[in-house]
Amino acid sequence: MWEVLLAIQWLCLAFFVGINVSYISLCILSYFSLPKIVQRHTLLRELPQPHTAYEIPISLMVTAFNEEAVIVESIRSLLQTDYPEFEIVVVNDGSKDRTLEVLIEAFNLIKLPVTVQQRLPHKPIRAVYRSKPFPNLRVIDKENGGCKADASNAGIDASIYPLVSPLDADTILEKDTHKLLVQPFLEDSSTIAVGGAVRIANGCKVKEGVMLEKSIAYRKPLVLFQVLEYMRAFLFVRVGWAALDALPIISGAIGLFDRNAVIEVGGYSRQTHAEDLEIILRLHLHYLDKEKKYRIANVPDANCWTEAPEDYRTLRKQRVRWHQGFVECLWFNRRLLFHRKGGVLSWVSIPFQIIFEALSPAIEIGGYVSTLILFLFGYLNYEGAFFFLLLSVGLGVLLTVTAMLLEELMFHTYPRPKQLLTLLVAAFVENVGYRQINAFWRFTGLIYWAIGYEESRAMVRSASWQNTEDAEVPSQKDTKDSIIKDGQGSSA
Amino acid sequence: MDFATSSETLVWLAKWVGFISLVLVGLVSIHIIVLRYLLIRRNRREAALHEQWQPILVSCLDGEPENLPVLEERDITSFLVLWNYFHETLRLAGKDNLNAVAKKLELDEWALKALDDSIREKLLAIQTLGWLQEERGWDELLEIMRHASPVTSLCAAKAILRIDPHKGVPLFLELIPVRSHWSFSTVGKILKEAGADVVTKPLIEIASRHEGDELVRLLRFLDTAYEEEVAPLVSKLLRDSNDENVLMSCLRAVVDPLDLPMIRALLRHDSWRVRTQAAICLGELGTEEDIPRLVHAAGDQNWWVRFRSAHALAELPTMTVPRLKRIASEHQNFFGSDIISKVQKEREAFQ
Repeated sequence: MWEVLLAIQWLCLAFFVGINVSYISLCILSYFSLPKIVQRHTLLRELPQPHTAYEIPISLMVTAFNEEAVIVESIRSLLQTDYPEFEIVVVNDGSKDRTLEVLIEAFNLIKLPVTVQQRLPHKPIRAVYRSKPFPNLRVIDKENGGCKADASNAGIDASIYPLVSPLDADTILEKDTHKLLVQPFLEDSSTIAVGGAVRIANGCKVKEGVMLEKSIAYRKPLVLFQVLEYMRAFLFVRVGWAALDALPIISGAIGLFDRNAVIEVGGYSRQTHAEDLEIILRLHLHYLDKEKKYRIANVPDANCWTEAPEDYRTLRKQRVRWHQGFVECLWFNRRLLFHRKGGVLSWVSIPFQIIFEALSPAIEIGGYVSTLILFLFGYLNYEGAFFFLLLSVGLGVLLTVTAMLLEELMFHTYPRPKQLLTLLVAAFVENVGYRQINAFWRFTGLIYWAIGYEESRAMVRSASWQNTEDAEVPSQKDTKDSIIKDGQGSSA
Repeated sequence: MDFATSSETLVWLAKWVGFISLVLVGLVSIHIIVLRYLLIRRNRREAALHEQWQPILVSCLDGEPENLPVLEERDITSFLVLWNYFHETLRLAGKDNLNAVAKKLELDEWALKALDDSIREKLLAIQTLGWLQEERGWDELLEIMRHASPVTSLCAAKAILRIDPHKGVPLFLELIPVRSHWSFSTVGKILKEAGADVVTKPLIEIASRHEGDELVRLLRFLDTAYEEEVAPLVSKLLRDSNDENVLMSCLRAVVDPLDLPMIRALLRHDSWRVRTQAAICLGELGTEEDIPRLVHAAGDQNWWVRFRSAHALAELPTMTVPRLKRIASEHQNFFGSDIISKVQKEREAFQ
């Protein structure tokens, strides 16, 4: 018994050293590569850039299931996209509310015969609508497929441009997001997918789908912790892997894909909880198997803003589902591990994802439980435990403040000193309680995957940050609740 | 409990690494706060700079401003961003006056020195030298255009073409086939700005010396040249080339109705991509004579060829909705009849 506990403690220690060394390495990599990427885009942001006829046209694809409350504002916002040639394809995934009707009324949609070549698996398309005043807006009305992947596949089939950008109905884009996202495609013709950065919109001032003021939700600790998590994930983890050309995932909330590449791999998988993560791994695998040159890139300054769960229950559901989906995706594409052609991706990045991401909650929980047992039986070395706690908190906060440093050096997203100070305080506080509970949620996701358990999929989102004049105190009147079918929210 | 009780070295390590990491946290936090303080100061300084210089730069529209205020060394980059912004937006007369302001402030000298600076200063310096048409920077800019990273080299190319387009365009065009990482959007923008007068001749000359992928890269920019002058090259390639990508590029650029026989022949090409592009082309240039061909192509085995042929058919000048309806009903092939009927209904809805 004690030998087992001892082994667990040593395993935890090895894991702890490994994960921190890996994250610090990624941090150093992104510290050196991030400035190069951002400075390249500096003049693009600072000087007016006239359009030419040479930008690659893009299809903005919005999947909607029961989005009656937000869909019209979202599409109005997308119609203002600053890009020379684009179309908007809205896929109404058999909504049970008035999503289709409000779209027809708001955009004067006219029903057309279905001229869509079906090359990807999805439920039948019932009708195609086109807007009379906005010829670049089409709405695809289809039977409900039970998952976002089904709707996305229909959207990809219906889109006509070579690059497709899947978006959520409540995603807020910055003016130049797609101009920045398209850059890797213009620079390297072997690019097949590009990811951007996801930011948390809770606390921001948003009106009619346009970001008026970037801020944070001061009084909502769960949201603040998520702001820090997203900062770490998008500022050093993804930038670091991208610098090694071994980016394993890009966010489902913001991405740009070569449409032909997506069709070639058979579109989104309808068998996973995280289809947006799974497709990236499958693209990697497909291109490695075929020995075709390809590139999956990351543009850290191409931002989109999305709503984060504000309550414990919703956040728990999201994290359990994300982790379950993440492990599923790794399992489906397990051939990527040590793939003979996979280079850094297969020999470093994927093993890292398995050990330090997928299995980490089990090891972390194992560490907590064994420490508790040692404590209960009076075998805990209090001095040792205290210093290991100090080390754990110290390194955790160090990684977070380094991500904040990168943020401050490159983007200055949050303009007020108060916001910065609040985040600094949250960087300390998240280590006590939130990190542990998060590990527990992810552990639950791991268990659910192992036993094949399906949790109820309804998830409540409160779009309280939309159309608010006061970012800190959202008005009840403007609060819209929408039930979003699980899977419609993208994994970050 | 060896681990918990007697691993003193580990505990000692944990203690010191823990303390060091906390000290580092403190230092990084202070660094962040200092950076924010400096940012606030820089923003204030920039706002003051804009307030002072914006009216002066606006007055460049009316003439060369006199009595310029002193520009401090540390404000040069902020000023140049503003100055470049005005250059991107002002018309010809204003540009000369903007250049006069920059020369008076000796920014040409700063830009020449800044070519070796960090990336932001370097890009700003390259842009500035281009607007100033500063020939002293030519050799260094040429070197950057030939060897630097895609973004920097294209920025240098833009500057070179602004300094001397006649000399610069052939040098730039020579690099297009080999610099496969260059953004074709930016290349197109640069060539368009240089103008068809200087682009046409060297583009035709250089394109006729290349083939395969290198030729395809050049053919993308045919629309930056005079249509009638590139037409013989396009006709020649349509006639002689077997390369699918070359044919596709030429079909996108074709404007001469004399090429119709070749386009019609390509509607039977082995590649569905070529057949699709040929159908689009016939929609733009085709005549009454092409209706049977497009009707036949609407029954092609490839969906895209069918889709584009049906749309091309609808685009023909003599085509009407009732006629389209009749063609759909008389079509022998189910797929052809189906797609033409759908296009007809779409046209009807938007008429």
